[in-house]
Parts: sequence; C-alpha cells; structure tokens
Amino acid sequence: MVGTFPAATAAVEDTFKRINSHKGVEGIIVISNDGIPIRTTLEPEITVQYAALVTRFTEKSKSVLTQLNGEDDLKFLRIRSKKHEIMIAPDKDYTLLVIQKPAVS
Amino acid sequence: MMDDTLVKPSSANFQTPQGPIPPSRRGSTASGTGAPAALFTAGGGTSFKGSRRSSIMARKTKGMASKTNTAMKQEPVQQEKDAVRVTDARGVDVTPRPLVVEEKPMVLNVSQLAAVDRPSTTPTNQAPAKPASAGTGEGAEEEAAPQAAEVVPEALEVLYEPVRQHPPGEDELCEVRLSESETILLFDKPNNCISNDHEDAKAVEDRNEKYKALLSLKIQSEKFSEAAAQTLDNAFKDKEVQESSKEAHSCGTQANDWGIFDAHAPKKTASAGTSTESAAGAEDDASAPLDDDEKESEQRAEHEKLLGMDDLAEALIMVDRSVVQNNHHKELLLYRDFQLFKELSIPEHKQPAVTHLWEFSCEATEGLNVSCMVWNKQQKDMLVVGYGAYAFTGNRESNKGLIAVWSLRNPQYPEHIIKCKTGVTSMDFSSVHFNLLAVGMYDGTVSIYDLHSKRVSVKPIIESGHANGKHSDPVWRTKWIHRGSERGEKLVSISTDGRITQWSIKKGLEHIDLMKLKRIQSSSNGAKTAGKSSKPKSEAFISRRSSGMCFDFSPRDSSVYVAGTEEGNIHKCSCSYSEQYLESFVGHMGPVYQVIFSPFDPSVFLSSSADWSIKMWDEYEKQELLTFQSGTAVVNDVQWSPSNSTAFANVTKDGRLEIWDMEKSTLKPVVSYKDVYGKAKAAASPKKPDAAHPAIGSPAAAAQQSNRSLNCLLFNPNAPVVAVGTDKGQVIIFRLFNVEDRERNKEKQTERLRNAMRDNIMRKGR
Repeated sequence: MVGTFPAATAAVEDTFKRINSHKGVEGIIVISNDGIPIRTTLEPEITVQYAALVTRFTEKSKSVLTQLNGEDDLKFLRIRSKKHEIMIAPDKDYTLLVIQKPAVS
Repeated sequence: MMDDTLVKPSSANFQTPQGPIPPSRRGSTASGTGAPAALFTAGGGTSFKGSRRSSIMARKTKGMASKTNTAMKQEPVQQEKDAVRVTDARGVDVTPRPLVVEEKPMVLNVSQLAAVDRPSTTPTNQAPAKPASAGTGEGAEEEAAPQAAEVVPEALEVLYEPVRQHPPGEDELCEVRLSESETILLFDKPNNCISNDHEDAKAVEDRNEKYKALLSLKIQSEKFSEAAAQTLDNAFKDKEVQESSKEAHSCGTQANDWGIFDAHAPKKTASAGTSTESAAGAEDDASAPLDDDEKESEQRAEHEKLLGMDDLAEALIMVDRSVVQNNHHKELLLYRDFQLFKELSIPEHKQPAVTHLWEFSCEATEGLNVSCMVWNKQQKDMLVVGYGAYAFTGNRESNKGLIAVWSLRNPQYPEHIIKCKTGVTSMDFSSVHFNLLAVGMYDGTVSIYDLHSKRVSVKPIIESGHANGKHSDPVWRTKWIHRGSERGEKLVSISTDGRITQWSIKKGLEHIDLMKLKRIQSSSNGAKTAGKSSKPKSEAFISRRSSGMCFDFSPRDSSVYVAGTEEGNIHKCSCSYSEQYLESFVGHMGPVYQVIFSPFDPSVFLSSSADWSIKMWDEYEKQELLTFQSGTAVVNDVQWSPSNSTAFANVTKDGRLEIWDMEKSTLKPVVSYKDVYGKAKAAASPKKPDAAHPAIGSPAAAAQQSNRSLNCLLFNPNAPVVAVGTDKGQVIIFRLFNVEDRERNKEKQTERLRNAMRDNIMRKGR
C-alpha cells in the first residue's frame, strides 16, 4: 500500500509550507468535495468541524450567486471575524481553507 | 246515377271505439243490390255519417233503399256471406278495407235508429274517401243535408252510431246493447285554473298579465325570433397515454450514538496521520486502520491525486496572496498612496522622509546579488528583478542567474521565476511590445524573453550566440530606444568589451555596432594643455578599447547618447559616427556606473561613479556643473525623480539611500537612509527580523550587523515609491514622503530645475 500513491506535487508542497510559515496563519485544510478533510495542519476535531461547517456555507454562498445570475459562480470567499480571517477557495473537486489571525494594525 | 263506388265509411271516428259499423252491414246493403250501390256514398267520414246518409237515403228513396235496408238488417246473419264489395264503374273492386276490424257485432235496434235523426256532417271528414266516391258522396250529402240541417248536433257524444234501418214493413225487434267502451286517453291537460277565492289568485292573475304583456312584446319585437337549433353532438374521442410508473423508494436508517462514533473513529486516526507535514503521503497508510481496506485506500488514492492537481496549486497561490496581503495590508495602502495616515497610525511628515515598506524576498533569491531591476512599461507595478553576480566568481555554476517577476499581489513570493544560465547584469522592457524583456548577461549574451504567456517559457525567444556578434564581456546596460517612426524601436547594449551595439529583431538577432569605444588621453584637471607636441605620458594600454559601463540616449535627439566608461570618462556620441566622439566629459576619477538624462531638461544629465560622487553635467558643457558627495562609498546608482525636477536619489555600496533636492541643498541630501540589516535569526525562516526602520537618517543600531550593499535603484513612475536592490537578494520598497512635487506642469518643473542649477552654479562659481 505504501508505494502506490504518488506524492503531492512539489509546487503544491512548497506553497503549502510557505503559507503555513506566514505570520498569523493558524491552519490550512484541504477538503474533498464530499466533506472529508484530505490535508490539514490543525487538530482533527477542529478540522472535522471546520470541514462540515464550511462546506455548507460555501454551498449556500454558491447558490446565492448562481441564483442572482446564472452564469456567475463563487471564486473566493473571505470571512473576517473578530478573531480570525477564514479564506475559502472552493472548487468543484475540493475546497481549500486557510485560517489566519490578522495582524493587529 | 251514382254507380261509381261505394266506399265504406272510414274508421276515422274517434268516438266509435268499436269502429265503424262493419262495412258488411252497410256495404252489404249496397252490394246486395248492385244498382243502388252508388247511393251509399261513404265519402269517408264517419261511419255513422255514412250510415246515416245511407239510412237517410234509404228513407227517401224507399223504393231503392228498401232493398238495401233489408239487406242491412239481415246483415248480422249474413255477415260472412255478404261481404261488401265496392266496385266502380269499370267493375274494379275498390272495396275499402276496414281500418279496424271489429269482431264484436253491433246489435242495433232499428227502431232506435230511426228515432234519432242525425245530421250529416260536412263532407270534409271524408278523408279516406276515394276521389270518385267523394264526388258522389257530396252529391248524396247535398241531398241529405237540407234534411239533416234541422237536427241538433249531439252526434259527437254518441259513441255509437247505430244504423237506422227501417226494415220495410217488418217490425222486428232487434236487440241493441250499448255499453261504455274503454277510454283511450290521448291528451290530458290538467286543469290549472284556480278559483278566484284562492289565496294565490291575485298572483296568478298578475303572472298571467305579465305573460300576456311579454307575449305581446314578443310578437312585434324584431329581436325575438323563434328559432330552434339543434346542437351537434360532438363525438367523443378517447386518448390514452402511457407512462412508466414512478418508482418510489423509501430509505431509512437509524442513527445511534455508537454508529456516529464508529463512523468518525477511523477518520480521526487517518487525519491524525496527515497532520504532520511531510513530502510523501506515506503516513496515511501507516496510521490507517487495516479493516476498511479497499474503500479507504481508493478514497485515499483519490485524495492524493487531488493534492497533485494544478487547480489546487493555483488555489493555494491565491490563498497565499490573500494571507500575505493581510499581513502587508498597511504597507500596501501606503504604496498606493492612500492618505489614511491617521488610520494607519503613521505620523504625518512634513519633511521629506522615507519609510521602509517591505522587501521582495524569497528563499529562491536568498543570497543572490540583485544586479538590475525594471518596471514593466504597461503594468507599472510589476517589477522584474535580475539576479547575477557583479564580480567574477571564478566558478560558472555559482553564478546562477535568475529573473524574478514580482508583483504587489504577493510580496513574499514572485509570480514567476526564470532561471538563466549565467548571471543577469541588465534588463529592459520594450515600450512597444510590453511583454518583451531584453536581458544582458554576464557572459555577454543578449537575450529576449517573452513574458506574455501564463507559463513563461524558460528559454528566451532569441539569444545572441557567438556568430551574431555577442559581446565578449558582461553586458552592463541594455535599453530599448525608440529611434523614431522609421527606424522603430531598437535594442542597444553596452559592454566592457568596448562596443555599443544596436540589435534588431526583425530577422533573428542582427547587430550593428554603433560605436567602438576608444580610449582617449585622459587630460588631468588643470591647465595642462595637451599640445600636439608635448604628448603626455601615455600609459601602456592593454587594449585600445575602453570599457563601457553605462549609457543613456538623449531625450531630445534619439541618435545622440552619452556613455560612461570604466576610466571615468563620459563620451557623447552619435549614431551616425561610429568612430568618433562628439564630446568627452572628463571629470570622474573612477568608473562611471550610471549616466542618466533628466526627464525635465533634455540637456542635463547626472553621472554616478565609484569615486563617491555624483556629477551633474550639461551636454553642451565640457565641465561638470555640480558635484554631489555625501560619503565615502561607491555610488552604485543614481536616478532622477519622475515627479520632482530638482530631486534625485542615489544608493551607495555601504547601504545608504540618499535623496537630494537641489533646491534645498547641494551639499547634503535631504534624506539619507541607512539600511539596517540584521542576520540575527536563522536564514532558513523567511520571516523578516524585526529590525528598526528609522524614518529620517537615524544611525544604525548594532555594529555586528553586516551591511547590505544597495546596488540599484528605481523610482516608480506611478506611486511615491522607490525600489532598491541589495546584494543579498532582497529588493526593498520604500515609501517616499514629501519628496515629490505635485506640480504637473513640465515647463514649470524645467524652470525650477534651471533656476536651481543657476543658483547653485553661481554659488559654486564664487
């Protein structure tokens, strides 16, 4: 089983590491489109929670946009809360999620 | 004589249910005697009439009738035998057949019959009578009519008309029985009259009146027409459609606590395995439970594939940008000149000042020497930085050249990285084709890259090879010069091999040598006139060529340019003369690293040199106008400010960025920024060390920190920002405050420049 899976490409790995090293980044999660977290840098409980909640949220946002204009679609979603900023990049096969604690200006 | 026919009376007699008198009776009398048959004209009508007539006739013409009467009387007995036969004149039997056959014999009382005088009715009732007989009937009736006229018509109520036959002379008693026959009800209209004493009488009367009135209306009205219509009965058609039945499935499941737990439990261990970051995804397998074998592994294979997708890489880049922009939010705002100083908690400056915004730096560029930078002419915020060593490193491999395209979107990672085989020493973007980048390399190659495509090609589109007249020394400056509308834009390069070469890319890369720099006798400052007779002591030249370091074309005339050499001389040349200089400017004592014309005054240019000074020249003056010196370090680069005609900036090897304003002072710069660079933290982490960023020239903090040499400088044409390249691989972006002049009018700026120059020169002259 060990040798059968190709590793994620180098570019993806590099970017992953780079994002993780930025100031304030708390975690990165990659979720498949059935809601299962594929890759994460956070604790599993929180990961599962984020995965479940965020997929529902992005679906809702997508439906809002497509209902307003049939040709439109969601590209990027940024939620700024008091404590964090959650950045969501949805796609048809996966969803990418980054949680950052923004620098206090 | 009425011999024609004897027609039996018709049976159209309502009130004789028993039908007419059997015709045999009457008829027989008639037929019994052929001759008087004509007398009995039935004429149709009612039987009794016929019989009456016949009986009347019989009375009248006794002679004739007597026989018939007797015959009739004897009728019941002779019924079968004496069938009535009517024959007309020709002897055709036209005996009318009875409509109703009655079996019950009628027993007549002849005497009763005789007592009753019945009038004959009108001949109109004789409908079924034959035409022939009708005539005779009428005739007979007419005769009988006068006699019957007196008779009161009570005939209608008589149900039965007996035959009045008087037997001649006989006075037999016949028995005649009369009984009520059954009633055939053919029409019944119930009486709907009410008495006047009835309670509804009035209402009924009113209704009647109304109805009468309505009727009267209807009669005269044109709108009313009585017409009947028959609606068509549409035929019905059956149409059938068949549909497959919709299947409904119901699914149900039960969720229990333990079920939920179990479902989550294996996933928890799997995600725990991936939480540690490592290059290979092998950990997944190690920690995954072995029971969910195939399905899990399929899933994981998919997931792995997902991680390798390009889309994911792009999304990661985008997210990276967002994260970084969050961190650099304040700085980006400053770059864009958002005047939100209060919000950004930056104290407002009145004096010219410089603020360190950020540094374009990443792991790939760490440690490389920034040799040149250029803004894209179209996207004015795209900065392309070339990395390459200045000095000969001896080892080809260590002088790896790099071109990094940086964008504001991500100050922490370049948009593209292009690897070159040797160090990059100069670059320029074309102003005609905004995506063409000309690169001069350390080994003398001039290449042109096309940055248009998304995936920038690693190879240049054109490269100058040995056959094409490649420079044999590092190409220190390349510039796209627009030589007028006929000639178009040409690429010019200068190198320490002494050649200034113009390249054209129409067919491949063709070159024309614009100038071969020659060494000139360096006349020392002073009055020594270099007469032809007394030749100064000439040094033994290694080569007759002079090494060019920099050049700039005049904005006034695109065929005139000045070139700075390693000897310190600056030569003014023209494209038309490839052997001779138009003018030589001698003044610097060290290699001239930069010459640049002022954007506001086309005849003024600055030069920076390794002799620690910057000199200002006028192209028509042999002597320099002004000298600026503020330290003891090699001035690597000098640039005019694009917005302020009297301001320019320079960078030095000892890490200083200085901004001069001629209007204010020519002795010292208005801003002198000393770069503080510390390598306190480990180099692996690109997180920036928290160094102090002084606004106005405060001294460096610690002495152990190694300085960065600032190699090159660029003003941004749009934003109040300068980019400074260091020799450690970073490009620092500084924000300038109060340096630019808001005056947009070019003439005024030029005026200011001239005035400032004049003031300063006069002062110097003293």
